[in-house]
Amino acid sequence: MSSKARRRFLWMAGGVVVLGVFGYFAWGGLGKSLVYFWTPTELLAKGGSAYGTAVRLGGMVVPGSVEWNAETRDLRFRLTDGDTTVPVESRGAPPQMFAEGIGVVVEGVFTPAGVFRSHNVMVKHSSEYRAPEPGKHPAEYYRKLFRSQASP
Amino acid sequence: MDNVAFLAGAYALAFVGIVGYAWSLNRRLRRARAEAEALSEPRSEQR
Amino acid sequence: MRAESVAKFLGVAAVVVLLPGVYLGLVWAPPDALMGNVQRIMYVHFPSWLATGAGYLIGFVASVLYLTRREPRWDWWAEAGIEVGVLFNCTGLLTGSIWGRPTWGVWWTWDPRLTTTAIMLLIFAGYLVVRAFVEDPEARARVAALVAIVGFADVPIVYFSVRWWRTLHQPQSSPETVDPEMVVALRVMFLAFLLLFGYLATRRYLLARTRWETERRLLELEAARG
Repeated sequence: MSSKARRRFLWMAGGVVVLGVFGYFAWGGLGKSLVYFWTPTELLAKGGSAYGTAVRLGGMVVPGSVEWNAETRDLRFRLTDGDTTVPVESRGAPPQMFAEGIGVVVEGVFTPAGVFRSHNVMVKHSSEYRAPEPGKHPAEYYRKLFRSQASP
Repeated sequence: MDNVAFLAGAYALAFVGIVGYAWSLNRRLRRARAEAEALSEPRSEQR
Repeated sequence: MRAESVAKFLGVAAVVVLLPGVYLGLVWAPPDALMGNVQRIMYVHFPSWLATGAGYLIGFVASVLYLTRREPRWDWWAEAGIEVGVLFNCTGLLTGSIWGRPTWGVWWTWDPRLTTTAIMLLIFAGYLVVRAFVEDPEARARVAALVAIVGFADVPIVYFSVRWWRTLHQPQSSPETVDPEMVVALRVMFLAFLLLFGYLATRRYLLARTRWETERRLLELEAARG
């Protein structure tokens, strides 16, 4: 091969590799192995094999399901993806943004009792940024849930 | 508290980083130019 | 010196736009209903990523041009774009982390967006390391250009990661999902950071050019002596 043809071949090969990697990520295969969190439905579908392994579970905090015990610092709530709901137990105060109806990702293990025991609660924020409504202090939104209970 | 400390920290870190980089870039540029100068001078003396 | 005066203009313009931009972001625009004032980190976080993208894109295009044309100035632009891109990559990660702590509850998590972003920083920091280790100017430019071109594949992956996979990081915002006053402040900061990027990248280009000329002169002197 002449050096010009060789160079052209290398360019094309490079282009194919780059496009291939890109397409692989975009349409397929690796998407499955890059699952950051499971939904409650996926977790329950695993059945007994899901017990005891460290996983992340993502969903929405069911409104009205949050119980916070300021003395034992136990937090309980129910997590839903719309179809399936899993009870979650955690220790310690959650992030300030935590509230009923908000998206969360919890890290922990699913116990045979059917409860997800979490050691880390993370709040998943949406891509919406809005000004507070008049008359309401911005911090009130996320603080009202815990202000009465969490402060000593 | 409304996490203002986080806000201040983020701005401070970002701008200290950017200004620090601009400052060091200035210094690097000055040194590189001094070096280029020093290199061209002895040669012109030799001629 | 043309590039010199361009840099000067960009630097002055950057400061002139940055000052009102910071005022708009920190004072004029409303806080976020849910996050309060921490959300104002957005005005340095988003623009940081815009400047990062600009830097790596310049690095990619200039590297392609260098390999096809073999003119040293494209190597200078590639080095300049990527080094300044790495700076803004760092400020983007730092501001994101500081925002994440009060909002998510963690400084860092290995979700696909954050992971691919960390890989991106490693790739382009690696580019700078590679440059420091190759002695011969032309071999250095060639190897570096290859690293920049192959490494750039990660940049669109970072961008699309929030659409392809489940992440803790939120997907891209659009003017519809952001309050109009925040959009105004954001646009001013975008412009300010682009000007800032232009100033730094042009200065870095001048540095690369000066160093290359010195290097060439030294090689000439050596050849004349030897």
